[in-house]
Amino acid sequence: MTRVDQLLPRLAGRDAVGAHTLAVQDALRATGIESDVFAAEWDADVAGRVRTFDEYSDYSDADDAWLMYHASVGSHVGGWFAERTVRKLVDYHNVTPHEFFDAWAPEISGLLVSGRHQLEDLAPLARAGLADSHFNELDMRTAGFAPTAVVPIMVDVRRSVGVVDEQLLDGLGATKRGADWVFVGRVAPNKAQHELIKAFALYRHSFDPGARLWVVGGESSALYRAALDRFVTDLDLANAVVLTGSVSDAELGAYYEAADMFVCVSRHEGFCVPVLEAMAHSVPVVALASTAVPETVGDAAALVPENAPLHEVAAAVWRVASDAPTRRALIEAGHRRVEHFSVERSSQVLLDAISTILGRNA
Amino acid sequence: MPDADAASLMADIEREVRERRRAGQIDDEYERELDRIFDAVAPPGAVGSGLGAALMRAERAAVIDPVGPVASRIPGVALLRRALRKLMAFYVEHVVRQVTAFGVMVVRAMRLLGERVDAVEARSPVTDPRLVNLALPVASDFDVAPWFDLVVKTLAPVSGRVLHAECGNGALLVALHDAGIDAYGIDPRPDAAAFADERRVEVRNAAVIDHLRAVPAGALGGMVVSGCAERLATGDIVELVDRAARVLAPGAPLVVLSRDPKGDLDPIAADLAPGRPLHPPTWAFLLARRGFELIETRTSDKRAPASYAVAGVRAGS
Repeated sequence: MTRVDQLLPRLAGRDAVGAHTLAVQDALRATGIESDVFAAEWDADVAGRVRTFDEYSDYSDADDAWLMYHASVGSHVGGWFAERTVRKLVDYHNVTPHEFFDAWAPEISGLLVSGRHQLEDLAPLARAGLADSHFNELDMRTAGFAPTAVVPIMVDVRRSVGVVDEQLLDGLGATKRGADWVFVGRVAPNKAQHELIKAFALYRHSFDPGARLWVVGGESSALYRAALDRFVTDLDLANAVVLTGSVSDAELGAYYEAADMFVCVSRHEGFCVPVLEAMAHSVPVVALASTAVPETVGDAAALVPENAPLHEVAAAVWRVASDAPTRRALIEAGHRRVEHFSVERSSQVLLDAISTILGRNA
Repeated sequence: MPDADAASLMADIEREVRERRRAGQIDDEYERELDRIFDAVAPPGAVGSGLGAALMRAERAAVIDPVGPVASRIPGVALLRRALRKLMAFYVEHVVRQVTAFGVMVVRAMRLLGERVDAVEARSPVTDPRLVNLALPVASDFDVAPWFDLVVKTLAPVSGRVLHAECGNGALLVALHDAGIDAYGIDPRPDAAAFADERRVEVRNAAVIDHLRAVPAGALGGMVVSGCAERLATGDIVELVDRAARVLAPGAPLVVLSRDPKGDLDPIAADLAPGRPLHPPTWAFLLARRGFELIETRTSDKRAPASYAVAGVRAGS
């Protein structure tokens, strides 16, 4: 029986790559393809669905065995994967250009540089490459992968709809004075939360002095986080901007429920799951048309040109906040976009891609 | 929301921003102030670039602390870690001393290399920081007013944003706006921002090539180049044309306005700028080589100094 096992450095059920890996396993198993997940580390809540990668050697000599590696930052697991003789697939989830991190977190820059080299090293060894987006696919082709196919990242963004920390939601509602912005994503230089805070300050200055901004997500760089804290203090916005750090699903639900719009000025995204998550929570999205963001949001967001001044982001948010028909249209378009990227649909795209690859290599 | 609606929503928002700017409701000085406040809290090297700042950080990172943290919330673990640290100290410190020495010597070598690069740079007017930092004032730009009619006529039919680099005092941007053309400018000189605020036009403080690097391919409906056209070094001009060809949409016009080197040149620019104005056929050659079509040259010596316009259209219309 054909088996397509998966390998990744760390399996975390709550992160996008982890959720995608488990969804891929479900989709493969549902069609009768054997599939186990192997990793070097994992979170306790997924311990029952993963095995240590040392155990993989059981299958590596089988004729009908494939191993799919989930590539992002550099890892010793990628090196181990390269040395296996089994037929290889690479599912690429993007490597952020290291320049974003050089000044803020050189230790992360090193992982990013190594991730990029690892991708190039794997290209001649893999029979095919899968990418979350056309943007990522271009990266893979540049690295030398062929053939390639786009399989959107499979994350059930609707899973947390309705899961809400009511106490937090009540607190946010009781203190509301204007439009509430939310952005969800790791606090990292490529996500450009500092630009988001600038756009927000311009918005308060020009349109809505009672507006608030919630920056939700754990930090990738302590130095960047500290700079954001100081920036907020120096702008005298400590009462309006909250950097929440990591939050539970219920807290995240409360922020989405309370927010008037999701604003993303990220400068580098390989897919950007949170924009879909916001759409699933009926929060209209205003985003900068950067990297993979335009193909993820499609026509369901107010998409500000990447080189536009931040005033335009503020103006777009004001339009969405103040114009009910525009707001309604974006929310409805967002629901359609979420459907477009549903796990069911993307599973079919995955299975078609896998079937083509297996057929080609039969 | 179908595609057309999303596009018309953004076109509407862009129009609104332009109207607000013309009405003096956009506070560009506040945005620049925001940039300055963040730059002040960012670490060396995060904003802009600087070999000195990067070396300083490398130097700090080169000194490795062999004493690892031992604290733990789990009972007994801190004690165990402390014991391990003590047992391993002789070995770890031995390795750390060698790695630190290596790191410090690499940084020292980089500093020496940096000094030699500085010396080389100082011998070229294109890279000499003493000249690079000596921004020529906007007032020294040649008057592009005689070319307004031609530029407006060339750009009137375009769709998409038009860039004027370098826009100097913003007079051409005002003429373009008055003709209903969606134009913005860039200029790296600090005094250009004050002119822009006064004239209520959108101007970004950036150098032309840096800006073009950040503009997505095919994003511009048209482009006017002046000022920098006669100051940039020759290699930079070649890159400017290459990048313009990338960022202009198919069919989009590029207009170059420049002093004619055969006429009287501005003495300050002629003495201090790294480049000199090109002759009109040179621009026409560069545009043709990069695939521009319908290239036309007009010269004007009605007003001193003599100047010319070279216009071409990005192939693929």
